[in-house]
Amino acid sequence: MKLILRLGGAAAFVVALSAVLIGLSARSGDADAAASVQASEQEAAGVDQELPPGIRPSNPTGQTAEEAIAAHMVASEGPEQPIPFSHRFHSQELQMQCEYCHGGTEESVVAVIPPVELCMGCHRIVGAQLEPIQRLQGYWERGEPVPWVRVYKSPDFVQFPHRAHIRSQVECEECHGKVEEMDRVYQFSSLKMGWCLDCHWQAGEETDVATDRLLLEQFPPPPSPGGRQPHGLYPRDIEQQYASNRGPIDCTACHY
Amino acid sequence: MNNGDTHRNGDGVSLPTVDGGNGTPGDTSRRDFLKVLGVAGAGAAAASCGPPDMGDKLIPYLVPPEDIVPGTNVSYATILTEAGGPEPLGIHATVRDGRVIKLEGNPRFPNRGRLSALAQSALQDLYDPDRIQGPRVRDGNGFTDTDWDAAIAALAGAIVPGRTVLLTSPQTGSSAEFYAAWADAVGAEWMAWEPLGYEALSSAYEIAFGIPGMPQYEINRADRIVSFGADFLGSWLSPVEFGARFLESRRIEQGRQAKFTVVAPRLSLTGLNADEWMAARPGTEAAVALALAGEVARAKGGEAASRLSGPLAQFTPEAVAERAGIPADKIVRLADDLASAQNPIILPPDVSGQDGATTETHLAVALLNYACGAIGSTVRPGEGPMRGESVSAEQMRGLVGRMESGSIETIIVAGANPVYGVPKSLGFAAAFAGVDNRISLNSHLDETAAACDLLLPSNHELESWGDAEIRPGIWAVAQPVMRPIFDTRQREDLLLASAALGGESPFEAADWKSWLETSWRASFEAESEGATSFEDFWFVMLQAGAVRRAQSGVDPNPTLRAGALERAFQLPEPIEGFKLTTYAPAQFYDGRGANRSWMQELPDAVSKAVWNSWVEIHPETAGPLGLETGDLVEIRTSAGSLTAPAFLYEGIHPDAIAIPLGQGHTEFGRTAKSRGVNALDLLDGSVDPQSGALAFSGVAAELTAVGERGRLVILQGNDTDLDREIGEMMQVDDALEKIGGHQVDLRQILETAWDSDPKSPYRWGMAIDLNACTGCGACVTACYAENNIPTVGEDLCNQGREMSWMQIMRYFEETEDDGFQTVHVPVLCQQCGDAPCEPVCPVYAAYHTPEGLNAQVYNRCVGTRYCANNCPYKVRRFNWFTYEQPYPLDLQLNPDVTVRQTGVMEKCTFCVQRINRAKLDAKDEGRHVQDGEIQTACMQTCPTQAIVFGNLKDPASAVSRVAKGARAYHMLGELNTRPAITYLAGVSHAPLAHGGHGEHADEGHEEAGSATDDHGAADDAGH
Repeated sequence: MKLILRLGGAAAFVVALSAVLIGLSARSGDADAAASVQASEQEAAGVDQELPPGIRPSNPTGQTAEEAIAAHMVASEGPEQPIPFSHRFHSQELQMQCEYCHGGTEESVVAVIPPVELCMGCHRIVGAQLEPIQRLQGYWERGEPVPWVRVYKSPDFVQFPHRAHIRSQVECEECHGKVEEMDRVYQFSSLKMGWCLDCHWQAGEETDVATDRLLLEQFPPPPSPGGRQPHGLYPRDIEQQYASNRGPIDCTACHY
Repeated sequence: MNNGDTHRNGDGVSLPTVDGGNGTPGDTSRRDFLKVLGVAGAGAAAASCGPPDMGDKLIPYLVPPEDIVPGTNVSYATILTEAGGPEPLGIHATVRDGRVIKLEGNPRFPNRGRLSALAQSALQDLYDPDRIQGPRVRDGNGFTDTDWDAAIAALAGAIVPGRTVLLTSPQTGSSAEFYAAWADAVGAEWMAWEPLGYEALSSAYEIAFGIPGMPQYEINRADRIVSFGADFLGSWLSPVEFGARFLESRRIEQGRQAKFTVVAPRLSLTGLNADEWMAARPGTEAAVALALAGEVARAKGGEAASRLSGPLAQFTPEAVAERAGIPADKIVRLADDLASAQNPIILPPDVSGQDGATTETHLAVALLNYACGAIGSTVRPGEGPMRGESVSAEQMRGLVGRMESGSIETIIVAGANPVYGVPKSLGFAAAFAGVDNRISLNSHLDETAAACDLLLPSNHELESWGDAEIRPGIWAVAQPVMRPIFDTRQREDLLLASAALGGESPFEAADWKSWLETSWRASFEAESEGATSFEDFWFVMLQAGAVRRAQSGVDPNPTLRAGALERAFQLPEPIEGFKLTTYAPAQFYDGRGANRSWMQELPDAVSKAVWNSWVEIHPETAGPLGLETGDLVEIRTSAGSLTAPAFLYEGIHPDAIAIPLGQGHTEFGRTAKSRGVNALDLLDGSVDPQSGALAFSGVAAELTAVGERGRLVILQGNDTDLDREIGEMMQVDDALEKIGGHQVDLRQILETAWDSDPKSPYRWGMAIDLNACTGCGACVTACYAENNIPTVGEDLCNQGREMSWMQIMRYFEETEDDGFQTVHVPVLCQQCGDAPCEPVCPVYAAYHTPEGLNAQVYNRCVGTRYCANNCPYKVRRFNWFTYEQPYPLDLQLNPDVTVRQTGVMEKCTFCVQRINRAKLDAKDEGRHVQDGEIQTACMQTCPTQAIVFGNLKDPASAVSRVAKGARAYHMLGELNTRPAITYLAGVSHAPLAHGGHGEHADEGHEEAGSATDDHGAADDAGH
C-alpha cells in the first residue's frame, strides 16, 4: 500500500480500485462511468496535461475479459505465461497504472512483481467465474507464488537500477513499450548497449563526461545537442525532458 | 566469453562448477539466481533445502512483508555472541530480499561499529553448506532423517533426572536464567564450558581485589603500554574494542604515541605492533612482572611500596634477569618508564602464556598494575566484558570421571564442541562415546555432534532470538535477521518442548520468544519510570540493540587484599629443552572459524600462511636441525606427537616453539576437515591448581626434523620491502617534529586531466595510516563479503592465484639494537592517476573513469593479463576458473556486484557500487556526495580506523586533510603512477636502522615534482 500512496496519495488507490470495478461494468456500455474514472484518475495521480498524449493508457476499446484471455492465448509474440494475464485488459480497459502492481521502482533496483496477495485483492470476487482466475485462486490457496516467465533480462554484468530511471522521469513505456496494447507482453526494446546510450548521450549535466575511447568510437555522441533521438516510442524534446537528469556515460555507472 | 572451465581442488574444498555458460536447463548462474531472488524474496526460497530451480522465472511474494521493498537493503540490529570471536559484538545485519548479505558493526556497542575478520565471516558460518539441515538420528556410521516430533520425544525420553548433563557455551542475560531454570525443572545439571576460558584472570582478580570477572582495560587512556603476551588486538577478550582503544593511545597527530612493550616468549599479531620486545623465556613472565612491580613500587613509594617490598624482595632485576634471559638494565629501564608514566597499563598473558601456574602470572600482572597505580584508573576490575559462568578444565576432568563411572546417562550438548576442544589427554572423547544417550543441539556437524546419536539442529544465532549482558548492567538483544535456511529450530524452544512432553510444562512461556519478552517486560516494569509502554520500549530496543539497565555497582577503587601478598611467589626454575606454546589465531580463535573458507584463506598475521597449521621456530633453533620454512618437523610431548611444516620466525624465543590452535578438525565440514594439526593433542592435560585452567603452554616438547618438505603456502613474497618505499616507518621523534611543519602537496594529483576529469566534482581517494593498522585482516574479509570474492583453496594459493583484492603485507625492518619492527601495509588497487595497467589493455577493459578510478569493465575483458603484468603493485587478480560457492553460500553474494567468471581480470574499485548508490542518493536530493557518506567495506570495518576514504577534490574532506600529513607518502612513489592512495608512515619508538621515512619522503617528493614536469612535456610532445 505504501508504494501507491507515495505515487498518488490515498485517492489514487481508491480510484484505482474503483477503476477495476467500474471498468468491468464499462464493457456493458457504461462509457460515462469509465470516462469519469479516467478524469478523476488523472487528477488524483497529478498527471501533467502537457505531457505528450501517448504516454498514458489508451482509451478503453470495450474488450471483454473473455476476449482478453483468448487474445493472450493466440498472441504470436512474448512467452506464454502460467496464467493468461492480459496487460492490455488491465491497463487499457481497466486503466490501471503500472505502479499499482509494479511498485517500489522509485526506491529499488527492481520493478516489483506483484505479490499474489495483491492479485487476490480484486480477484477474490472479480472474475471468479473465469477459469484462469480460478487457476490464480488455486495458487493462492496452495500457498504457491505464480511462476511468471521472465520477459526482460539484462546481462549479469549490467547493473540496471529502475530507481534512477524512474526518478529521472523516464516513462515505463519508453523501455517497455505500449504494454496496454500487448495481449501478451514481449520484449519491446533490445536492451543493447547502443540502445541504452541513445538516451544516456542526450545533453545533461556538465559534469557527466565520457573518458572512454572505445565507447566514443563505437557509440559516438550526437553531432549536435539533441541531434540524436532515442529509439523509443515517443520522440520528444529530450533536452527539455532530461535537462538535468541525463544518465552518466561512464562505464562504471552500469558495469561493476 | 566463458569457456565453462571449472576447477575442483584436492583439498576437500569444493570450488567451481555451476555456470550458465553451457546453457543447460536449470543451470542458473549465480547472478541470475540472485536476480531472480531479488523479486522472489524469502517466502519462496526458504522452504526447501536445496537450491531452488527457478530458471528464467520471476517468483513474486505470496504475501509481501510489511515495509520491505524488494531489491533494497534493510539493516537489522542484533548481536553475535558465538560466531564472532571472544566477545559479544553489536552488529547491523544488511538484509536484501530476505537474505543477510553483509555484517557491519553497531556503533552503539563497545566495538564502535567495527568488526573483526572472524565476525565478518560469521556469514559463512550461517550459510555453511555443512550445517545439519534437519533432525537426524544415528544409523550405523551415519545419520538418517527423522521428524521433529520423534526427535523431541526422543530428547524428552532421554532426560533422566539426576543423571543428565546439559553442556553449553557460557551464557549471560536471560539465556543464563533460562538454562538454569530448565535444568532445575527437569533435574539436569547445566555446565557451561568454553575452550579458551578466562578463569585464571578472573581468579587472580578475585584473589587480589575480591572482584571476580573481567577487568576493563582502558588502553585508550594509557601513555605507556606493557603486555605480557595477550593478543588483545587479535583474539584476546575483546579485540575489536581494544583496537579502537589502542588507536586512541597512538594518535600521533594529537601528540600521543604510547610506547608499547611486549614481555613474552612470542610476538603475536599484537606483539608485532609493539615498539619493544623483551623475549622472556617461557614461564618467566610472572617473575619479570614481580621484579617490575618491586622496582616501580620502590620508585613511587607510598602504600604500594610498603606493602610490596617485603613479599617481592627476592625478585630483584638481577635475579630475574638471569632466569628470564632479559638483561637487568632493560628491566630497570622499563620499571623507570612505568614509574614515570602518567597512565600506564599492563596487560596479562593469554593462552599462549597460560601454563600450570597461570593464576600466579595473572596475579603478578595485577600486582604490577597496582604498583603502577593503574588499578581503578586504566584497569578497572569487574567492569570488563561479561563472560558468563563457565567450568574449568579441572571440572571437565571431573565430568570425564563421572562419565567413565557411568553416573551420567545422558549428555545434551548445545553450542559447545568439547570432543574437539578438550585435549585428548583429558579423555573426554573416549568417555563421551561411552555415555548412553548423546544428544546434540549444535547447528554444525562438528566433532561432538558427529559423536552423538540424535541431532536436533538449532538455528544459527543470526536466525535466533536471545539477549546477553555484554558489560555489567548493559544488556543487548539478539533478533533473527532472516528465516532459518534449513529445517532447524530455536535451541531454547527444543528444550522447552522436551520439558513439556512429559506432561504439564513446568514453564509458563510456551516458547523462547515469549519467555524472553516476559522476562524483559518484568524488568521493564520494575525498572522503568513508566514513561512509555513496554511495546514502544521493545520496538526501540530492537532497533538500538542495547540498553544500559543499571550501573555496574563495582567498587571503582578497590584495595589490594592481603591474601594476594601471602602467596608463595617463587623464582622460576631454569628450563631445559623446548617449551611448547599454543595460541589462538585471530582467524580461527578456538577453532570455530575453521570451516569458513574466508578464514582459511586469510593469511595469518604473523606467518602469512593459509589453509594449514605450522610450527613457529626461532632460526637459531632451526639452524642446528637443518630446518627451513616449509620443512616438516615432528613435535613430541608426553601426550603425543604431531608433524607440521616449520615456520622460521624471529619473533619467538629460541627456547619456545608455537603452534596455532583451531585446525586439525576430524569433522565440522569440508573446509575444516583433515586440515592442519590440532595442537591440543600435544597438551598433557595439566591444569593451574588455583583456577583449574588448562595449561595451553609450558609443555616440554622435543623437536625432530622429519627430513621432508611439507607444504606451507605463504602469501607474502618477501619479509622486507627492500627499502623500496612500500612500507615506510618513522621514528617517533622525527614524526613529532615534522607534524604541523610540513605539508605534502597533492595538487599534482588533482590538476592532471588523466587523474580525474576537470569537470567532475570528484576524485576518489584513500589514506591509510600505517601507524594505526594492526594487521588484523578485518578489511580483507570485509572485502571478500562485499565484493563476492571467491576463495580458491590451498592448491591455487600455492600457485599464486589467490583472489583477494586487498592483502596486508607484513614487512620487517631492522633496528639498531638488533631487533626488528614490523609494518603492516594494506595493499589494494592504488587507483593510479597515471595507471600502468590502462594503456596496455588491448580492449580498453582497464579504463579510467572521470572520477579517477581505474575501473575494470568485466564484460570487455578478454583475459590477456597484460594489465596484471604491468601493475607495479600486483593487485590485479585473474579468474583462472569459475569458482563455485556451494549452496547456500551463494545466498550471501552481494547482488550489487557482478560475479566474475573464468577468464576475467578483477580488482578493487573502491567499492564502486557504494559510490554509485551514494551518488544516486545525492542526485535525488539535488546535491553532491558529502564527505563521510561513502564508506568502503574495508574502511567501515577497520577496528583502528586506519583507512579514510573520500573526495580528494574537496579540500575540507577528511581524506584530503589526512593525506597532507607529514607522514604521507605514495607507495613506490618513484614510479610516478600518482596513486589515489596515500599512506602515512608507521611510527615507532625503536631505533630504526635506516633512519626511517623522514628524509626519504622529502627526496621522494622532489623527484615526484620533477617527474611531473617531465610528464607534462611528454604529454605536450604527444599531442
